[in-house]
Amino acid sequence: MKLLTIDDSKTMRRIITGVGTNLGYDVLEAENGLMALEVLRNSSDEIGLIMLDWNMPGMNGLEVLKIIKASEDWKHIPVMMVTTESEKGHIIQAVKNGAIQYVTKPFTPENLSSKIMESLGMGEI
Amino acid sequence: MNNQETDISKRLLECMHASVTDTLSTMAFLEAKLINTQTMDTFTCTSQVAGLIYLHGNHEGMIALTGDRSDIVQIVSKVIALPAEKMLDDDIMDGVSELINMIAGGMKSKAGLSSQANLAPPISVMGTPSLTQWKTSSPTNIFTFQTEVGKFQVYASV
Repeated sequence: MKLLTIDDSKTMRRIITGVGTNLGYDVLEAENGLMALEVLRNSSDEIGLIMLDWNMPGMNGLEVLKIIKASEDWKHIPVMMVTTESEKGHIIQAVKNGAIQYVTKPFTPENLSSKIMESLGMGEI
Repeated sequence: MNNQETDISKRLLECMHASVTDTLSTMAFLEAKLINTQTMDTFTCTSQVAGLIYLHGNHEGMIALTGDRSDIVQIVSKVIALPAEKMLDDDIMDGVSELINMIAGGMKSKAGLSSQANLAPPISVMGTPSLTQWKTSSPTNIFTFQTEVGKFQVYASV
């Protein structure tokens, strides 16, 4: 199983990939929504969790989330938002549109690890 | 500025310190100590590296994290856990952008601003040094922080 991180920040993708790798997963990276959809077209069978930023140039995270959840092929993949947007309205919107987890930046590696494991149905570590 | 805008500005500045210390301690395991504050009439940063973010919506502002390249490299190196000597300019610019993004996001969140302000994508600037100006009629508060690996400034015109 692989994880997919979608974030326009290379710094954030590196941090998230580091955390995922430490948990023993291969992590695929996409720097925007269009690249993410391409990765999903090619590798959705292998992806067990998507970690999605909200504020990205072009398509934002909510738009990407809506596309994923509208797709018969991808809607089963759990999506965790990883974002600086921490307002209640954003969280409600994300959950209403199918996100199962919401992590706000900044986060500790331990916090992100726990949220990944929870999202994968493996409980807290 | 009307009374409501002044109140938002005050709340954002009050939340700046907590957001900086939270971001640096969580993402870089660094303790950021405030060592100096000053106020300028304009928003003009002179620095080797800067990450800037524009606050827009009902309340407008600009927030920047700036510093010498040698200091910012060390800080970003702690964030991404990559040795400073292996970091490229692109890594430093992306790192400083992400830091100011998290700091501004934290300020907005701690100040309880949801619909009043939105964050534009961050901008990063690198030079030897570079001069960055933003046209504003509001004053700019400059906060200097010292960490274990170097110092940096936060400019806030909010």
